[in-house]
Amino acid sequence: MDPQFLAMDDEDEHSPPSSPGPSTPRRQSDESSTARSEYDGADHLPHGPSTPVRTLDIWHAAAHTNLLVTEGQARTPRYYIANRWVLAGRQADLVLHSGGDKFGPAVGCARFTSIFSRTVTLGWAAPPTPTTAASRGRP
Amino acid sequence: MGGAADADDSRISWEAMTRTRAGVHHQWDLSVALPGEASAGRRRRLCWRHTRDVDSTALRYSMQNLQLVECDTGAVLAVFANNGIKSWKKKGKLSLFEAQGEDPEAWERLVLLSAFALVAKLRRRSTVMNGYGS
Repeated sequence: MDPQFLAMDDEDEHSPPSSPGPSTPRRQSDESSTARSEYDGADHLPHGPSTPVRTLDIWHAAAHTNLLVTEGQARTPRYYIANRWVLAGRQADLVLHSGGDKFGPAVGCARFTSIFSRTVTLGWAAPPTPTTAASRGRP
Repeated sequence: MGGAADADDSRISWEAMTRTRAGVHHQWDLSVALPGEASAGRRRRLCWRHTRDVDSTALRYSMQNLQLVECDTGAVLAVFANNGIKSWKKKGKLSLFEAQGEDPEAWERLVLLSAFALVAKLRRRSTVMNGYGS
């Protein structure tokens, strides 16, 4: 076969024929249509999230009831979230402990009025001031 | 904290998080005074919203995918992506995009506590609605 014809065949296979009109958009392998969003790839949020300054990994603990919060590849334990399904008296439904287990100091808690209620009550422990620490006999 | 006697502890500051939108696009509003801003009388209006803008490692169609948005500016401050059944050991990932207030630790605790109070509530509600609860 003439080498000139072979060269033309290769060209037809890999490149679309030239036309005077606007170029036809190419559909990617993961797209079902060549239609493009009017947002042109921009996030629809007013202020889209950028790179997080801190990422915390959340792990199941204690039979998928409680949660352990770690940070980094070394999985440094930061917080422990104790989830109470059976409550006694006025206990909180959820307690946030500092450290890697439920024996760490509690730094926050949450109470649900009921499962279907509209309100969740959150409580934060203020850092102990020197006055309160002295009155409680802490160093 | 968490016990009968500790519930009246004066060192605990209580805030209410209220649901303002129900259904699939549920939203929970929270108004807080961050450390360093309380003296100026400034309160932040924050809300947790359902989102599907999570990475591929998370379960996209989970009701527990949440993002924390500042109501006044619309800025996304944190995102919790729930792994769901994709992982047995790992619950998910909490990404903090911007530290607010003077104390980053306090902000981190606020985000953690409000997020997982909501996650726990959604989980309990789902369990009861599916007939597995008491």
